[in-house]
Amino acid sequence: MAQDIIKKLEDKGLDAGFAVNNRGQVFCGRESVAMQSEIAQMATVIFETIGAVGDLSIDRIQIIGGSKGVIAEISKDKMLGTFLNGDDFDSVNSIFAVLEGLIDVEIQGEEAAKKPEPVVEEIEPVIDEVKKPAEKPVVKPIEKTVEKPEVAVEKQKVKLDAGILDTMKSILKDYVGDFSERIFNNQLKAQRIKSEELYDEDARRLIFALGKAAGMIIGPSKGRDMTNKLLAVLK
Amino acid sequence: MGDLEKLDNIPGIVGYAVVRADDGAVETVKGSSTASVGDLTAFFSSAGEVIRDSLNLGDIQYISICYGNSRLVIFTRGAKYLGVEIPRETEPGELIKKIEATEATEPKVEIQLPRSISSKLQQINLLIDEFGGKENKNHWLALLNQGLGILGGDLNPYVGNINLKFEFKDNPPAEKEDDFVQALRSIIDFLVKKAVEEMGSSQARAKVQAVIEKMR
Repeated sequence: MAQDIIKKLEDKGLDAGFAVNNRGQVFCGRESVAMQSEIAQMATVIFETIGAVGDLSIDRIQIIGGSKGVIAEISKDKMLGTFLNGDDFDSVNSIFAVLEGLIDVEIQGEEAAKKPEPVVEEIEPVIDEVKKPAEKPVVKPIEKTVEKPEVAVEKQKVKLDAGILDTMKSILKDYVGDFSERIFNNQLKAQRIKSEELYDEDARRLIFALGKAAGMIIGPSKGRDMTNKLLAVLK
Repeated sequence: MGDLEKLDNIPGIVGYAVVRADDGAVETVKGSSTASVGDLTAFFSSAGEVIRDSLNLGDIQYISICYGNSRLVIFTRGAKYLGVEIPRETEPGELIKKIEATEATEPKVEIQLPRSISSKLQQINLLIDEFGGKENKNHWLALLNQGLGILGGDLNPYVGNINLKFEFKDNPPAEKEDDFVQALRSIIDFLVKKAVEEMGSSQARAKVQAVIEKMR
């Protein structure tokens, strides 16, 4: 399946595309295959950094250098991206549109043999470099043990009834009163949640964002209490 | 780096952080962003350096990360990284051009606010003066930013604290007037609620009354 995605990217002219699945396997297009181990390193650094910053749902990254760049769509521990040359910099949005359309397709790992064996050894020094406290003391959370991408089978997304949002809004109102409408709508927008297409992971993200926002009005302990009530709605 | 205060005047900037490139220390965080823009800038500038070296990308023009409805653009200014949060739909290149233009010249956008908005703006500034006085004004401006972060929504790229005053940096679109008035009203309620918590209801009420008198 991952090779199908790479093929689709190549069909769209993205020959330097790459995909990293939730097992850490890397799949490359014809122009990026020589960079396979560097892509694996990059993916690890990005996933570790996202892990270090906590509960923020980062779904897109661009690193644009002098004449080269790399962009990627990120979905949990999966990544789909491509290298860019200077000529492509103006087309970033259309390239992202292609990547966004494909990222949710399961990047299967049936071609495990394609995983470059020395990757782990090569990644460790890179991670160590990020971890060096002398260079970046602020980057403390990265000092956590390097966790390999989970081997477990990816959890299926569960679609929820949009009515659950009304229940959540009503609980929010019990805690923050008249502030509820604005907080709810702002967070819905901030988290890019579509009420007509609500999944369990979106609802969880929304709940924690609402809890954090409400905590600024009613205090952190009541905010936590409300978060727990909202989480109970999902059970 | 040019005067950081100039960033406060640039429309579209929700918040920003300055991080030292040599040791990753966060020097400044400003604005109403609800994300930890200081930590994000520190972490991703560090990660970007590692990736740049590994992939031979050359000097980094910028790093952009998107989360929710927001985008953080990280780029270097001298020996520092600047991480600027903007709405997701804003192009990073557009932001950098705006900042460079501001550094080169002093922009002067003439702000014309509808009365419904300007009166709320005035009320907020008077409340902050009244609640904070001279000694505690920064605390109340921080609370204002907190309120904006959770209640401001689309208003946030248009407003900011400029020279210790809450102001509009750009003219609000006409179709957003009602929404912005609602947002400002909520923020007033938020500030009053905080005042009640911090100084008790009778003192807070007296200060709100003083503001009402000043607005007459």
